[in-house]
Amino acid sequence: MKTSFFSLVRTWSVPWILFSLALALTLSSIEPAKLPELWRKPADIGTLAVAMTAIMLTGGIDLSVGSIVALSGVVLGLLYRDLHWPIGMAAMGGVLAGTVAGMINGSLIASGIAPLVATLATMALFRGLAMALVDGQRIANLPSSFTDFAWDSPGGLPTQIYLLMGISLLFYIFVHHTWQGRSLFAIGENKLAAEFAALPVRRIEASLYILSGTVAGLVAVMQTAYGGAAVPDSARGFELQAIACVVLGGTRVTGGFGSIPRTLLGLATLAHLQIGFSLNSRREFWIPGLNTSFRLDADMQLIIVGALVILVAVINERLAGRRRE
Amino acid sequence: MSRTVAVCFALGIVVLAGCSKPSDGPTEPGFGKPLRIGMLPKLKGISYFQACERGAKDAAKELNVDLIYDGPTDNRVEDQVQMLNEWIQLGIDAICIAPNDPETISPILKRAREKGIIVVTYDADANAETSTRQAFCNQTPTDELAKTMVDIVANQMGGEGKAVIVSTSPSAPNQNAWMSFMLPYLKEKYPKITLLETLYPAEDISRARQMTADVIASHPDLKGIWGLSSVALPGAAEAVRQSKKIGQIAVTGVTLPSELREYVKDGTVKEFCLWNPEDLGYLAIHVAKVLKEKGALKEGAQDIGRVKGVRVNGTEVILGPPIIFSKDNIDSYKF
Repeated sequence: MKTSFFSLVRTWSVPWILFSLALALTLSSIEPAKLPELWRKPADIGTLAVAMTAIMLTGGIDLSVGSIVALSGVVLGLLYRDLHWPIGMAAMGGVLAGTVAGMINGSLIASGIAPLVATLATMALFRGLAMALVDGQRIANLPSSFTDFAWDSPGGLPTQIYLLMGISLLFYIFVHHTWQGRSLFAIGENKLAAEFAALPVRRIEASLYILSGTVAGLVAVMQTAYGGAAVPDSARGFELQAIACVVLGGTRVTGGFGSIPRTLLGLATLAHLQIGFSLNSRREFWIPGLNTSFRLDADMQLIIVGALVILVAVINERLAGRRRE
Repeated sequence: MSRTVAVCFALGIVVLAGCSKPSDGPTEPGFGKPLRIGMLPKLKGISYFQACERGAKDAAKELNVDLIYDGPTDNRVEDQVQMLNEWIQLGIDAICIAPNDPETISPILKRAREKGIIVVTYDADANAETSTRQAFCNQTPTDELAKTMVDIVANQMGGEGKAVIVSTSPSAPNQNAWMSFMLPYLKEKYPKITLLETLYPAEDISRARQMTADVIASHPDLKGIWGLSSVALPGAAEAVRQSKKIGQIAVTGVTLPSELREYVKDGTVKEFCLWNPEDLGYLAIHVAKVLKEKGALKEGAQDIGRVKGVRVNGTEVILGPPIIFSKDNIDSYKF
């Protein structure tokens, strides 16, 4: 009992400390009541990150989610503008486009191509498709009934947060309370062993990418409504931010260890680092003793977030090493 | 373990306890609180927007304005929306923004306006209708700039031959607006000039160079090139120089003088144009201040601060005619 408590403290303390610092930084310049409004974009990133977590538990990765968000948004816009579908139907069509994109990823990976290679290729492919479908132009003038919902705050929380909570809950149950979910850890720990244990590895892997594509489709609906237009150039780099959330939470990139709550903590850390830095961007900080000062502007944010991701990754690898012993 | 915790705490101490001091904003107590204006470029760290920033800082000093300057490190509109949202929550008085996407930026600008924040766009406009922004500081009249560029190349070409336009991306609003004036003007005034298909190298200078070099190689009789951005024009000029066609191909377009100095010196580019980006940033801050204090701008031609002959036309504020740079005057510009 004592050891398990300590291992809990050990594996969770680093993300918690980082999160507390980030939150403190944010709250030093803004009152808590104003925070939810700033969570619209981070919530979308987090929704992608939750689906990404399940993939990364198996040692995989999905680099194409940003491109899928753009592609699904464009499909939504085209269905509405050119095929005159009602906006609700068009939104569903957009989500479906995400599912189809996920199927393409899934079948590539099931056929034995490494996830990094497969999704790197489809990242370019889906982005190119999104650009080509609309000739690089945006589709604006979406009905305000549609765009307003992404700006709503029912019950005081932005709509995006409800999507995040819903997807998180579903993935939490899937990953931590079903046998398929448990098999993700087995696949991540040792794929060959999992195959020998008669787990349907290929099928489980493929379904993860389909889920990820579908989630990206949902995020696309949110993003399109939030921006009031379908933009083929949107959501660039979202995949990397989502991966950063997963890593900051302490999920291992090589698979086998991690959880959905960790990713949410990683998301909260990353979001508050960015919000906190940005709110404090004009304050000048000086490092005692070194006689130099710096500002938390956008450049500095990148440096610190990068350093933190490295730090957490290093600590996790060392902890993982200790667990094995 | 205790060591990792210690590392984290040390890091935290640097970030948080690392004592903060107020920025270099106005320190002398004026009448009431100084106006807080946030300026948001398309992206940070490129010389064009740095020039705008210098002008904005001049204006802030002059007007006792507390200027917040920050922007995305990449030209992502989502990051701009998020930053604007933060500034709105901070309770800023006015926003000057160069939007990366005219549509996606508009809903958040509208929300800012609903909260009583002054919204001014510069360099590129938002959707005027859906964003309800109060003013757009336009660098130079679109038609005038387009015609100036066409005339420079057409005159050097002798009014006939093959020419090509190097733009950025097919959806770039500024470039598309210029082209929408260049094409009809070319057809009407210089019917003997044939245009090849427009090149779209995006914001990538080596692609601009490569694509232009390819066109020069496949069309040896090419006589004119327009480069419509600070990436396209230097890229095109470099391609002409590498192809050893200096003097045989007329090159012009828009970019900062500092990016093109050596090509002007060696004769690759005889003349090109731009507005003064320092004055544009300066103007944006002044306009925001006027809107905050007086509620509206005076219609017609006027001097705003150090900028002479600004034209106000509804919600559009026009900085002035383009500056034409050549061997004779290029050294007198700092940006």
